[in-house]
Amino acid sequence: MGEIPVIHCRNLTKKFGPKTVLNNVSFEVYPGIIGLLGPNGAGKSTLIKLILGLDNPTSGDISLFGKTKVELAKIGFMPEAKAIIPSMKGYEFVAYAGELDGLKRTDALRRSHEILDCLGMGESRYRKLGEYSTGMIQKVKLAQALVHDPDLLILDEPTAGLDPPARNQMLDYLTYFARQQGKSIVLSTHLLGDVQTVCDQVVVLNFGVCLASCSLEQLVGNKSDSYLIEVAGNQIDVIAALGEKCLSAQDMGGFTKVFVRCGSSAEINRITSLVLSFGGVIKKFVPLEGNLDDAFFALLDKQRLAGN
Amino acid sequence: MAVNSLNSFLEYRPWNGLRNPAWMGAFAIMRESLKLIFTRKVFWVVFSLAVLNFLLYFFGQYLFFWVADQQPDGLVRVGGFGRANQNDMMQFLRSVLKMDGSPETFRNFINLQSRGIIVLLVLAGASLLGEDLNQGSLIFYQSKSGGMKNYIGGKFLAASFLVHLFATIPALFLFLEICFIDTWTYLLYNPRLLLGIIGYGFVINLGLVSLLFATVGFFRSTIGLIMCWAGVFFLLPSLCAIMIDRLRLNPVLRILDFWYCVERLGEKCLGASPTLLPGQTDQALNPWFAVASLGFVFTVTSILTMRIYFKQGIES
Repeated sequence: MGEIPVIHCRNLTKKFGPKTVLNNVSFEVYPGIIGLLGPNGAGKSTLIKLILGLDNPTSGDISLFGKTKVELAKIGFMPEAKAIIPSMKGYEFVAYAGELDGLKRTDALRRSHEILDCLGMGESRYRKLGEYSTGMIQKVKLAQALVHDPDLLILDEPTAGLDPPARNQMLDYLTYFARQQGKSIVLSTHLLGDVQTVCDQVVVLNFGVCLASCSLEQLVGNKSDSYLIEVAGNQIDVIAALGEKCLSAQDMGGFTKVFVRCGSSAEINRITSLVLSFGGVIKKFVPLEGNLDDAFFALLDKQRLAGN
Repeated sequence: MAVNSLNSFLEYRPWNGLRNPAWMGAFAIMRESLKLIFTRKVFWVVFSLAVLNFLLYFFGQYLFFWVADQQPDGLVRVGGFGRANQNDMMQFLRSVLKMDGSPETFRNFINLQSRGIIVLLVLAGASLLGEDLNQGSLIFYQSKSGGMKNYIGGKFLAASFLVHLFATIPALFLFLEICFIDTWTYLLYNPRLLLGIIGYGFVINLGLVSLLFATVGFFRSTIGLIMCWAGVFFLLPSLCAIMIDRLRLNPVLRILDFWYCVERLGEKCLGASPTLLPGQTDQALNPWFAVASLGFVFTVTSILTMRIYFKQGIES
């Protein structure tokens, strides 16, 4: 990745009194969509505030696009809190945000309408924010973060409280702005599924410690030798016959999910024959994809065990 | 879903126009804050009362100068109500109503208008500032180019505009009215009065707005503000009256009465004779004590404002 890192944290520590919220956090992330993961109290929000320059680190430093001085005009921030003015209309709020980011009034209004068009807000932009649904508020919050055309978008829980279609739409927007408009996006969320859907890189924090900072692929790991077979029929004998090839099995009522390891296509054929010969019926035989949930919890467990 | 809905996007357009300096954002905050206040009914009610008071003084002064132009000791026709002695009318307008263009005229006028400002700030202060604290909007302002400085500056400008709209600007109109209906020599002979009006306006501005910031930071709701300001504007004066007038304690304790100190400073700015409160037995407070009291209040409220608003923004 020979590019300038979007965010480069070096030995970042933040203490509030005796409590250490971030402990010697170091990582660098590159243009793309970056997932910032961690359970509650992991230090994600503190890290975001340090990136935005709203608070100063106790020690260590951060550079954005290679510069240690934070230029807020280059950053668009979508807070987790509602952070709206209920009596304002949607387009007014976005234009207002643009003005606060240095746009002239007329430019801000024009940009506001453009962005809201882009996000499919239609006529609802003329309604007061107090009358908006959660999905619409999230869109307006995204619009206000984009109105001044920032290079880096920092989104704190952008899909929180959204129903599945609205969530998918929000993730589509993020993909669009990152892939087609070249924005770098930091996505702070609890929803591992969101990260797995759109992110290229991940930073995992827990108890103020950076557990991982790498590409999503690296974190999830290559599991191309693992497969899932759904077996009906004589399931008990099949599992016994598979022996050590069977990694684990889950009884699903009418069928059993069997996770197996096969090194080659010859081995796949052999397992297929074995299942059939013991009276099993194969409903599904698919490669097992890497799972972010497993990788994430494995990291947390590893940290817990290391602590113990 | 994930791919298909992309087709419905209108194209996003990058933007490379010129930007205003970051501090200009404060004016946008001021504008939107004022719009918020102007949509409140309470503003228009209080504003109407303030306009009525202004008209009372405007025509009162006009009447005074008109009567002064009539034959000395002659009878002046008072509408359809009969005739009054010119001297008596002058005396009434000068001594009782104090509508003669003297420093006391402006002191009384600004003091009355200030009551309206206090009511307005108490009832609409929570909309001006408290909503942002309740909605967690401070982080929104903090993440913008001007940051929290713009927010505090913009809100301060908005509240200050209200103070001057109610007190300073109409008082300046009254001053100009005398220049027009009497002679412009009034301006030459009373430059201190002109500066005093502006000065008193700024004293009220600093006092009330800094108090508003700090108290909204604590209470956030209108009910909380009403209780707190009732304490400052009713309880403290009563407490001072009991301590000084009844218990005969040191009159310097009057510095605890915030509003009395503001009025004393205003009198000093305008050069008006000091007024004694009903039942007040001591001399009027030395203006330097009033300065010290207001300086203390301003310092404490400013520190509280910085701590509350910056901390709240970071924590939200």
